[in-house]
Amino acid sequence: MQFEIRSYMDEVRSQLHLDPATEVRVLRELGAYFREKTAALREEGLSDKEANEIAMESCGKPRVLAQQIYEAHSRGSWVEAAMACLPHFIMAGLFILSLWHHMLVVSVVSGLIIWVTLYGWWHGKPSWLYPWAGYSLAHLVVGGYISWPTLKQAGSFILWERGSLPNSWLLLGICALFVLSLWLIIRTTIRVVRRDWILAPLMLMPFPIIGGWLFGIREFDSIFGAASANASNALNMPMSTALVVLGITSTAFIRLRQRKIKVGALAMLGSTAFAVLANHLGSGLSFPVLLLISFLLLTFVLSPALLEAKIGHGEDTEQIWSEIDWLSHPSASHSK
Amino acid sequence: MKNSIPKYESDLLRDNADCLLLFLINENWEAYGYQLIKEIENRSKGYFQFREGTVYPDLHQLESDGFIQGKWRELPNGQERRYYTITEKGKQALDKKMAAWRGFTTAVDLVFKPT
Repeated sequence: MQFEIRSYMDEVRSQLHLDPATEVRVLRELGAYFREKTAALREEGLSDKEANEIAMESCGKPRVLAQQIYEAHSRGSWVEAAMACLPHFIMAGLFILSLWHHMLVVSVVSGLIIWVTLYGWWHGKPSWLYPWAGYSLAHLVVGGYISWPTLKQAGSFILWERGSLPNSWLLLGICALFVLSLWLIIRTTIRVVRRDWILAPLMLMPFPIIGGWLFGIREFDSIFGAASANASNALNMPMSTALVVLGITSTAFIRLRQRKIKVGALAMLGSTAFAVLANHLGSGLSFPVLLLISFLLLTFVLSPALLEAKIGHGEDTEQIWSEIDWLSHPSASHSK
Repeated sequence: MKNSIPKYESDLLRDNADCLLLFLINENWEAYGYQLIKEIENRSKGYFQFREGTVYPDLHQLESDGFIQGKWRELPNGQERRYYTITEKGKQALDKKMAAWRGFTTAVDLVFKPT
């Protein structure tokens, strides 16, 4: 007769949006409570069905319970907030000091970002990890951007027989890089959305900023060259300002408790960051353009919610239920 | 919480639930959720009937704030429970909350006293 309780706890779990270890802890504790409470009620002479109903009623609506427990755990410490804003500030430093075209500095920063991302990924995926993961994935976007002219050259030759075909090994490598990058970005985003969809916009927030910057410099074949640097130094200040705003966004995200406010902060501050950059890319922003940017950013922030509705929440459902052994086989007798 | 408790009393109770939980965990040295619910009901002679939907989020909040610490313990029958103990930070918070509550109730009693 544990079907009702299992489905109640399934619903709690689908709304928890916590890291897997905390979710298991919450569900184990809730499972222990249900076991004890229903046993006590059965001893008082109630049937299994009545005992289950009373026990579930005492917990209230699963959505509300999950929301309250989420809010108890969702606020990160100041150390976590500092960790979350650090990659944005490091990147802002690269731009404010005009260091982004120095290959050695960029390599060291890239190595650090990728190392921190992998460390966090293999150590429980804390909330501060996601901005770092965003910059790690952004390397793939930059890589794709740098190799785009070669692909364009190949496309032009194949479709219109213009120019010459690039080296076939280089072309093959670039194609493999494109496919691998796309697969890695999609796969990572899906895994993040399964954990909690609001972490996906937190992770992907640097993409529109870096995309806007790449669009702005357009000197893809000499991205680390002095000519490109001189030509695009004008974007250093707006880029660093936009990245500092993203840092503030990440800090606010970690410190806020309520999901709706977290989403609001992502949408509003994210729009502000992009608007700062877009204002310098164009010749000033009109009100309708600003509205359009806000709408697009809002769509960008909310679209992972649709993805989560389609793919569901949680990475490994059975692993969690196996931790709560008496619920892992809902058809088993309560006397187990 | 008891449905019949008027809103004013239920607001008072909600705002002080963490203090009651901290007090009982401190007094018992360690306690688990269901035990706390029963004990609050018994001590208040049925006046306070906490719902599990209130107590568990409160316990998680207290743990997140570092006021209590939870630990799993296996019982002789193979079942498990999560027991909570108060931390030093929790003891300090409890002292402050109790002092504030006593000061408040004393002041209210003084005001209510007929002149």
